Amino acid sequence: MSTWFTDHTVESAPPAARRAMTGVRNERGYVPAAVARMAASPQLLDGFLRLSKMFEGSTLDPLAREVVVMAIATRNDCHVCVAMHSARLTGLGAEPDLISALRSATPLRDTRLETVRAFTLRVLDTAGAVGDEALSEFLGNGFTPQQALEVARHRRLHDVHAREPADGSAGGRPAQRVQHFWWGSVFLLNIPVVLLALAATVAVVPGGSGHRDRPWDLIASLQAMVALAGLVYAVQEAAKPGPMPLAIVLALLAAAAGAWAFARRQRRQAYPLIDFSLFRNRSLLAG
Amino acid sequence: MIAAVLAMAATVGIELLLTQRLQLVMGLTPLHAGLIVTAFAAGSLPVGVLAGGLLHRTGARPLIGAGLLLGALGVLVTLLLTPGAVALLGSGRSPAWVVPGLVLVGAGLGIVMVAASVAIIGGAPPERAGMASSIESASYELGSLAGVTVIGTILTAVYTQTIHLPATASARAAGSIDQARAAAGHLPAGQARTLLDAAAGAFDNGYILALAITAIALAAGSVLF
Repeated sequence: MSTWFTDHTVESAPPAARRAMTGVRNERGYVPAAVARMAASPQLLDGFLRLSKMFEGSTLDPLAREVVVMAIATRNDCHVCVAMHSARLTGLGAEPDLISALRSATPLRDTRLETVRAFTLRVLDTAGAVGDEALSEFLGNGFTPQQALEVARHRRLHDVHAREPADGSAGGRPAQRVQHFWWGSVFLLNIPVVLLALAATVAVVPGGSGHRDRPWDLIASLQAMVALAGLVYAVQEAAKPGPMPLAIVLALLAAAAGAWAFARRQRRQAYPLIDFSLFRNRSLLAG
Repeated sequence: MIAAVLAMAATVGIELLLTQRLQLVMGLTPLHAGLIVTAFAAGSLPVGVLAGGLLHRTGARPLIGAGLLLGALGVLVTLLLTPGAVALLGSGRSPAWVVPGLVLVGAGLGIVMVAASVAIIGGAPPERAGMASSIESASYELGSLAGVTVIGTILTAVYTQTIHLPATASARAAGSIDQARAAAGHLPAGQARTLLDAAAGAFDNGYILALAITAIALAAGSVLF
């Protein structure tokens, strides 16, 4: 990842950082990436750990503390921080929804936690000079002036390690950028392939416009669609926690009606979408 | 239809099992796991060509039967040679040991798919060729769906039924192996190891059962043809 900064182990770290690192390792069972990188500067690591300890002694509850940290970490694009604190949130039993909202820096559903998040961002935007309105809103949601100061103080801690380039040099950047795309964008890879296939089809595949005398049956397609959509909806509803029996029954009835109408229409049309007698062919059935 | 559904269900099921086993138990990257699974394609490409040549002499059904049997054998070899799954190979062995089995499965199911395609299209009169080819295509979709559903259900059911959670682990870890891995991320090293071992053991119970069922289904199919 980073070509300028090394992730130190307790053994490779400068002697002055080793004691602090061993302490973290004994407490957590592993050395977080942020600590491993900061170990290059024992003074920085020492300052970071002291400020962390102070924040852990804060009167904010653990979940609210993690909300503060995640708001700052996402704002700073600090990937190692986001990773480490996501894991900690899971450990605190936070809902997956909450964690993903924090990771994508979107508003939280829980109004108390959203107050903390909004106040933290306000602290960052105003360098601590939040103004009376933001402060009274924070206090109005049941928080104390002491807690407002604790949020503001925590900004300092992350200033310290935001200065430390967590994802390093120019060399590390492209890989980090890739992880920023939504996972679904991987499917965009198909587009050039499909365009090429379309062009090749026009150029290579023989055959004209098909049989104009055999029209495509739109109504039958819609009937089949009702049958399939109803069936899929019923299955999905049944698999949900707390399914609605009425919705399942209605969906199944719609599916049955669609299938029945489709089958009836296929038998009567001169040019059906599918000829059911094909299924009586043993070779086709076996293959 | 039957052969196409069966071959596709087995293909997708095995890919699902192996990509998860390689990443979540053996700790490979998605790229590395994906590369190993391409052994399947390496097996099926050349035999596709060979089967096409044989088809006119033997007819489709003997080839389908032989392909399903070879596939069943390949699944068995994959299971026996998965490091750490059965007693044959220790968990420290290279993940590349699954490659020979995968090549066999790819070869067997590759033959089946070529022969099934010919049997389906050849079974319909020429003016119904379009319908026959859409039946073929729908069979592959149905097979993929059935493979993911059946194999995925076996994996999850066996995992949740057989996991023995260490007392220190979060209850979420009982849901699936990736939740167990997430939960292990913030346990002290020793406890994390215990949890990961328990999760890998429970996952492997499902992995072994799912591969065994796949092998039996393919072998049973080969008797039919």
